[in-house]
Amino acid sequence: MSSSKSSPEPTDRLPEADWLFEESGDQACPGLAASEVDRLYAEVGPGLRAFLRSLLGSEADAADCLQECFAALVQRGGQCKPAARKAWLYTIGRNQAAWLIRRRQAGQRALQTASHNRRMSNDNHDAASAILKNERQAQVQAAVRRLSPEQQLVVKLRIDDDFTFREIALQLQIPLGTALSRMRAALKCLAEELNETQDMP
Amino acid sequence: MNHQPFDDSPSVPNSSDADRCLLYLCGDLLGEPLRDFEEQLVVDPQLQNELTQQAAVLAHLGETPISWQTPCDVPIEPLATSAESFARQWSMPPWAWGCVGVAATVWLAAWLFWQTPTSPLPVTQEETMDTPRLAVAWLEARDLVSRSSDEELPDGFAIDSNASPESNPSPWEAFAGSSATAPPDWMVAALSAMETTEQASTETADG
Repeated sequence: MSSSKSSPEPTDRLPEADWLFEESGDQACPGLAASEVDRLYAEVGPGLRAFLRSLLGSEADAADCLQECFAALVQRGGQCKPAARKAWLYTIGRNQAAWLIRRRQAGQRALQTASHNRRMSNDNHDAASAILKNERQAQVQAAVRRLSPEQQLVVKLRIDDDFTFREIALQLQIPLGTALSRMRAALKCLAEELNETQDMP
Repeated sequence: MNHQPFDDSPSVPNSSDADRCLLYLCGDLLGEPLRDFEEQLVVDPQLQNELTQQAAVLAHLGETPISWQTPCDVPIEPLATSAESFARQWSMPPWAWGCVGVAATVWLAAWLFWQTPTSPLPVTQEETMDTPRLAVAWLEARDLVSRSSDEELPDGFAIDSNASPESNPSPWEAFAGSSATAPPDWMVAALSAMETTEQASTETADG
């Protein structure tokens, strides 16, 4: 991470943040090399911080959220394929921002109580999140299989093989716009299957 | 909204918000379009919504190990250079290359045949009629030159022995630059006549 930004320590995390990562799970999560974290921080950090600031309306909250995102990246980023890590960070950031907004609305006291209860049942939470993760992965696999072969090929080349869209277009001898529209259509189908179309709170 | 072209691609000059979100999340948006997108992202809730929806699905895809079905199992070759692409584009079976080779050889042989003069330059009818006269004149002139040195030569046949080689070019130099590489007909006729005469005189002397 850059020198201007200190590395996030576990103690820096918001105490109630664990449940935000339930979709990622906490077990057997490989970390990332420091060089990869540095690279992602330089590439994604400024844009993500501005995005979070626009959601939260506060520079301080945005900084906290950003730190949470990269703490999660250090701990669990290795489980995400490199091509999707930026999207993964934005998803973590969006969830974190949503939680902060809810905390403002509900009030500090109630959330502190909820946080205490969550810590008490932390072991149960880990087991549940692992089950949820497995279920979600099964859903994704089933949804991907229902995509058309052309859409599957573009998704595979972009996410698994980390080709750029320009390279995909060259490889498949299709216009760049066609490669983009196939990927977009695939994401739309997957979002509908996974119920990921809800708006921000 | 003023949409800028992403990256340097001219093929999608006005990409949609969804396309730009996709390119941004995948790290394919670069340079000025990237800055424009990030500036717009902080003020456009619709764009934020699109981005978060796509990000969530991409994150799920990134976290899920997927066993791809055919045709995704088709191995994808690494992107080739333009030279390799050209070579692959012109790839043919061996028998086709053999045909091409034979055709090229025949063409080359024909080209060489027409380029190499196998006969003198085309001779006009007038030149054909003058051939005997030219041959006789050349032989007469040769007789004059081959006479003994004490015989007086006509002025027209005087040889300037002090002349430099440059002023008296050799016959080959005289022919240099000319497309004619074979002797003219009149010379051939004269030489044939001369050889016949010499042969007859030799036989007479021997007999």
